[in-house]
Amino acid sequence: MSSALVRALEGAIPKDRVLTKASDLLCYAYDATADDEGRVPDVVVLPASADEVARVVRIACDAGTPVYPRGAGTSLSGGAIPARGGIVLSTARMDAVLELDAQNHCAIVQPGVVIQRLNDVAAGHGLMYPPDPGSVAVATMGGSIAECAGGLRGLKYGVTKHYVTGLEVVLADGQVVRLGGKSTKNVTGYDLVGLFVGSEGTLGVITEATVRLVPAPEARATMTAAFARSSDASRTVAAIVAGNVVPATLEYIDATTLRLVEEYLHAGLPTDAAALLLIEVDGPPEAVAREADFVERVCREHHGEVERAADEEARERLWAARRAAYPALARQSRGTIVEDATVPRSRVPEMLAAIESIAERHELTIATVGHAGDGNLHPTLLVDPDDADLMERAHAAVAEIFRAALDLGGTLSGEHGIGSAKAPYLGWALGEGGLDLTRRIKAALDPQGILNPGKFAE
Amino acid sequence: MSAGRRPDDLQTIQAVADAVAICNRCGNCQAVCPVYAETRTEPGVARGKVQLAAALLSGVLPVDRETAAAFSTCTTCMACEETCPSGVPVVDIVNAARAQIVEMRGLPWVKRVVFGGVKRPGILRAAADAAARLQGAAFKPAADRDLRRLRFPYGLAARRAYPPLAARPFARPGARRKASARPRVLLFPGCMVTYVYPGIGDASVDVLERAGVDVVTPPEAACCGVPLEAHGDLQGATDLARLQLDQLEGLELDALVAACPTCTSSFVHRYPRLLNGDPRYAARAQRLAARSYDVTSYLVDVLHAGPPPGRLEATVTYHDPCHLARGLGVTRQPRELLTGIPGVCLSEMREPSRCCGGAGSFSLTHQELSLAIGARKAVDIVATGAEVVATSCPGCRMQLADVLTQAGDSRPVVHTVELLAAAGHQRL
Repeated sequence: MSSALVRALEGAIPKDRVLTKASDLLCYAYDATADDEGRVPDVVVLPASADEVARVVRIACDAGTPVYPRGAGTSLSGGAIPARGGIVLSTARMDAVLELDAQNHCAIVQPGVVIQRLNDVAAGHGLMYPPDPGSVAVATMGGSIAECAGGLRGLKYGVTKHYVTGLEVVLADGQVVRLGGKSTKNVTGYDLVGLFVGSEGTLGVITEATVRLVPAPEARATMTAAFARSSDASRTVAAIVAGNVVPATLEYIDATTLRLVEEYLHAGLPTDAAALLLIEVDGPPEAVAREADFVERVCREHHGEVERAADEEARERLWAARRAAYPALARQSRGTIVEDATVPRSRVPEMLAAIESIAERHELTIATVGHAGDGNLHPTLLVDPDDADLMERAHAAVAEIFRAALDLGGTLSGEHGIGSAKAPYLGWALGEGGLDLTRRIKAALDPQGILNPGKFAE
Repeated sequence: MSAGRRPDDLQTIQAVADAVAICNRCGNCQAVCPVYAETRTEPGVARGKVQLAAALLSGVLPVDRETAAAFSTCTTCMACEETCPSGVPVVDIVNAARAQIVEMRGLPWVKRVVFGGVKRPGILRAAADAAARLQGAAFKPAADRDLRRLRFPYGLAARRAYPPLAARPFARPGARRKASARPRVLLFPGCMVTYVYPGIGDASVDVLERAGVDVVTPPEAACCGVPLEAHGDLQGATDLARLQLDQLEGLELDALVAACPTCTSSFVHRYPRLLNGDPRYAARAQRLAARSYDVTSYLVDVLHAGPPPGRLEATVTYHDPCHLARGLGVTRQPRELLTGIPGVCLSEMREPSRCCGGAGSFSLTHQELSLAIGARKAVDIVATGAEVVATSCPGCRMQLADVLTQAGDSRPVVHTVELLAAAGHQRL
């Protein structure tokens, strides 16, 4: 990086928000992606307004230098890694909830707002913002919109793209555009808001977002059901949905995960079970009672051993196993590769079987939890970055998991995005035509290729 | 790559290499780090610091002043450790990095002079004594609460309001032998109680004696060593650990208690770790660790102390010190003691165990950051409407009094045992 460029950046935004020390830069080389060494950027900037973002991008555009937008750096597919060096643009200082419009059930936020904070503000009005990725307490609105984050409530409430109605974006040449707005219905031209949701920072930098909120459910009921055969768990999921009941949460926890969680928590989990379902229904109290009774009956009909939470304390206990899944896996090994291959709901049993046989074939431990209701599974490979042989087998297994998901009519990623980690497989999912269209869109919006290079869109 | 550095130059930080490797960079620590909440930059948070430790280990990051500064921005509040899915011992890593840097670069001269004094009880006592007599020249009294402000403004230091040093340090040494059948407890006062808040020492004695034990203090008032370890002076901290064990050797004690959780955690956790493998001291450190308690947990869990005889009509809010709540797992006991006082009503603040930003000498070396962290605590305290703020750490007490003063608030801040003692005497 030329010192002229750093000087230009220091002229564009206050100097104390342009970081160039080695100890600062090293801390922006990575995100939460396993199995990626990262790359140290040349400079980090922390703009505080859309105007400052635009100035930074214009400088980068003039110099042909890459810019990597970054929120909390919790992305799981390499989205925030500065793959080719250049400028990391952190939105951490743009963290204001600009407006909470209870009348129109929406909020306007800056990109650095942490998702949980928006929920805390919304809760004061009896509202909620449904997308809830596992990183909800730290991930930012900007990052989660750029990655189209999902979460545990996807089955009933959908994912991030279903909630973004307006955006302000700084384009690759520094131009600022405002797209969409508060209207729920909006067919004015192309769906340009939709174009940027999930674009992983490759088309523009999000500097403001208008998002839809929904009334927070008045009541909820929570239960777990343990099954001796995993096929019974899968059939239970199908039967619940066939009964036209849509739980807010319908989580599948496999036997490997149960064993590892119990070793970690000692919570008396049914480690002899082949699978555990965690189910939560929410809504008006009468509907919740009716639906919970239905779900409980269906679980029992499929030989599930049901435990239903009587109060908030019991609910927390039932959730503990699911919440502890990641910590338990993380403590069990030196590294974890969390995938998020997704299949149509009805193909979940086949996908689970495929993962099991892939694990066996490559002699790997793969623990699977997943949002069974929406077909989004998280096979988690326990790995050791220092064990070359193990890593080689893990990489082969990951490729086979993708292949299996696609063969079942599914896709590479339900909610983590493609980034750099899954970029080599993108053609498998999109085909030549889809890849070509992706590249043409990228070339039209970012002809120099300065926005988040090294990711899927090139 | 730094020139001429061999792997065995880095023994101190090598010891935490496995701990560094288990961080999977999920970033969950961002949710709870008090420093990150202010800086909003990655080097401020645990994930960043652990990656910097990895860079030190691999030789990518030089051992220089910049690196030292990066590791200095941590209050060691342990909130990240509590939330970390992988169980990364962040404070150990930060301390190892600080110690590694000091080993290779030496201590800055100011710290060398100060720690040289701290390591020798006689000099520490003489210096504190002189400072207590001379402080009138340097500080001017601040409004309320008996705090003082620096008379000569040295930059931001002028903004801080500190209590005056005690005119008479706290001390109450007793005989080496047990004189009665009652349990005999060593009250370890620590520097803050000895030189700044002797009232906390007096109150501890009062409450412990009322609960039926005999109380003695160490022959020499000496530092527990935490400030030295926090600044990377591992050798100095280890010397002090040995000094403490030596001076307590042969004292007939049933328990050691302290009203400063940082001191307590020295006896419970740090000394056994620092002296591990030292043939003369390791076993003694372990034995003492098993008998060491925070004063509130000793009163509740061991002595099952009843409520004080008097009454105290007050709404009290309680701040959990980091090293007590997370370091020693003590949160229930001080609350039981407070709510056990007839007339006291406990009004919990938002996030009572969030770091107050004091963190010992951090409040001096990183004043702006310390005040910013503390300002949030002040807001949470004021929001409770409580008349009195209680905590169980003299360092937190000093910081809370300061940040409330900065916020223009004058409600009293006291140690839990002071309220208990006051209720016992039916005064306040």
